[in-house]
Amino acid sequence: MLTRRLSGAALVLAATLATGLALPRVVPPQRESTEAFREKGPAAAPVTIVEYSDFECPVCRAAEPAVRQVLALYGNRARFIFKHFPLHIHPYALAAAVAAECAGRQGKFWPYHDLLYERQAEWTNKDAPLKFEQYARELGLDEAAFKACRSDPAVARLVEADAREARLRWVGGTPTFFINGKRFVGAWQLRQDGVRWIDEVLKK
Amino acid sequence: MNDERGGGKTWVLAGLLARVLVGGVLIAAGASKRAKPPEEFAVVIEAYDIAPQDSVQSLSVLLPWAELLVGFSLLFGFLTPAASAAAAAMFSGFLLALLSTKFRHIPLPDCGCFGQGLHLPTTVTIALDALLLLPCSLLSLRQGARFLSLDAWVGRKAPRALGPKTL
Repeated sequence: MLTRRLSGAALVLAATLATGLALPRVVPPQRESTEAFREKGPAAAPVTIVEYSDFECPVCRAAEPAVRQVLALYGNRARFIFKHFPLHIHPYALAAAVAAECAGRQGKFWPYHDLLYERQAEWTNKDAPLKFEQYARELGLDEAAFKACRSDPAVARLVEADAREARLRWVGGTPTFFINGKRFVGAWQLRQDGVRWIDEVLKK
Repeated sequence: MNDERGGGKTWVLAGLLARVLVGGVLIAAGASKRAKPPEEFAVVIEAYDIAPQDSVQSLSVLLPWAELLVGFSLLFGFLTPAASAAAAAMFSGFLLALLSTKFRHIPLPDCGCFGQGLHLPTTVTIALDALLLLPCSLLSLRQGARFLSLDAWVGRKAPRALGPKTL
C-alpha cells in the first residue's frame, strides 16, 4: 500500500511539474527603438529602462511620477526608451500614440507625451481628434504637417510594431518596464524592486 | 459502482464530475498563470491590497504551483478529501478577497483568476467561485469520489503473489 501511495504522489507531482515547467515563456530581447526621439539619456548608459505604455491607460498616467523619480535618481547612468502598447480596450489609445509620434517628428515627442498624460480625462472621448490638434497648436507644431502625419498609415504601422513586440515579450498590461531585460509591472514594482535591481546592476 | 459511503450510481458519477470540474478549473487557472511572467500576476495580487507587499512576489510564484498541485490531486483522485478541502480553502480565500475589494470600492481591472487569458467581471467571478464551493463540499463530505481514482487504487488490496497452492 505504501508503494502505491508513493506512486500516486509521484504521479501527481510529475503531472504538476510537467505542466508548470513545460509551458514555454521565451522572452525575446527588445529591438532597438526605431525612433530616436522616444529615447532619453546617453546610449552608452549602464542601465536601460524600456517602458511599454498606453496614453489612455490611467495606471500609466499614475506611474509617470515614479518614472520621473527613477530617471532623476540615476541621471546620466540611465537611458529611457518609450514604446507604444495601445491596448484594444482603449478606443483612443492608438490615435493618441500616432499623434505623439507625429509630434515627435517635429521634435516635440516628450512635451506632447506629458500633455497627453496630464490631460487624459479631457481627450479620452469622441473629441479626441480635436484635442490632439489643439495640443499640437499649443506646442507650436506645424499643423498641416501634423495632420498629414496623423493620416499616414506608416506611422500607425510603427506603433503597431511596438505593440507586436510587446505581445511577443509577454507584456500583458501597461505600464510594463524592462530594466536591462528584467521585467517590472506597474509603478510599485518599478519604485521598489526596479530601484533595487538598478542598484545591483550599477554595483557590477 | 458504489462508493465507500454506499452512494448510488448518480452520486458516483457526480463525485467524478465534481473532481474533474474542480480539478480542471484549478489546473487551467494555475497553467494560465504559469504561462505568463510572475510579475503580471504580482500586479493583480497588489491590486487586492491584502497581502503584505514583501510577500507579493513570492505569492505570485507559489500560488500557481499550489493550484496545479491541488488540481492534479483532484483530477487523479489522490488524497481527494484533503485536496478538496484545500481547494475549498483556496476558493473561500479568493471569494473573501474579491468581496473585500467590493466593500472597499477597489476597482479590479482583472481578477487574476486565469492570468491574462480570460477576463471576467468581479460579480461573475464571485458567483462562479461560490458555485465551485459546492462540488468541493460534495467531495469533502462524501470522503472523496473514489470512482476512477488513485485513492481507490491505493486502497485496494494488492493481488496475492502466486504460490504453489494456486498453481
